Amino acid sequence: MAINVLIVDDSKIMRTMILKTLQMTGIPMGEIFQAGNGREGLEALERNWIDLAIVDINMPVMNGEEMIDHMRGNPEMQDMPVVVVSTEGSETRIARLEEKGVVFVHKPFEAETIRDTILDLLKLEADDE
Amino acid sequence: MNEKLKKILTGIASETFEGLAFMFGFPEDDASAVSNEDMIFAQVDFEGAFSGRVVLAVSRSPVEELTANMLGLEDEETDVSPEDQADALRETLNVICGNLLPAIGGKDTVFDIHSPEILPDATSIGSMPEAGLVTTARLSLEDEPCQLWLYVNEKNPEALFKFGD
Repeated sequence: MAINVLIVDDSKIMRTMILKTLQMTGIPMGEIFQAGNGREGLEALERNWIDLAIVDINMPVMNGEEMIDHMRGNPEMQDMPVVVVSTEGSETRIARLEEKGVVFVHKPFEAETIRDTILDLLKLEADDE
Repeated sequence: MNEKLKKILTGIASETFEGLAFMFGFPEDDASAVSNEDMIFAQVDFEGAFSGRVVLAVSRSPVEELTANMLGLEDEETDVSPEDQADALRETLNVICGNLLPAIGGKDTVFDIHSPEILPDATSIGSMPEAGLVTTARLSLEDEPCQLWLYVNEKNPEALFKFGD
């Protein structure tokens, strides 16, 4: 089954890198939506069926942590799998994010890390063919 | 200038170029001033246990390659826009700063990193009252110069750094 993914990052080039990485994972992709900040990300979530959100932390307008707080407070989004892809290095802040039920991937990332994280999070089988 | 700090900054910058764009930066001891005309400058401010700024200057030709590699473009389609080049440099600086701060300030310390910005030239690097240049690092990136400066807004910044021997 193909999954719909939302990529939220204020860097267009980083969104493209994540998009290309997703396309290389072998995971069947449906629609891939993009947003430049947390506010736009929430709007995309309200308008579309999305199975997985990949979210940066440091963004203007609304940062990733605020976006995740809004999601966890909304019954329609509170259980959505979220992967945070960020340069964040503070173990204190990472632990706080993980308490909100997100999985953390550090930038710069390897494609295999993104693939394995998504497979694990969505409980999908790897397709190495 | 703190040599250990310089080594950390150099190492993180090298790892970032390799991790983001498969480009290899080699440490250089060349202390000569970089040429403003051929460089693109970017800066990012941070706040937390201590506040400051990281400035990155890279020659134009490696920035084109950096951008093309980050976008996954093939050799024959490496014509990248100035906007994409600026975005690539901002994101590279964001990753360098994000990895540098826990390496020098401790992994339990929380820092807020502002949005990186591109500067017209070196003279546009914003003034930082009380800020001191604590270290600088020079790399050779695709045989072109790449330089970083770390400024910290403290009178005795080294007392705040936490890194092992």
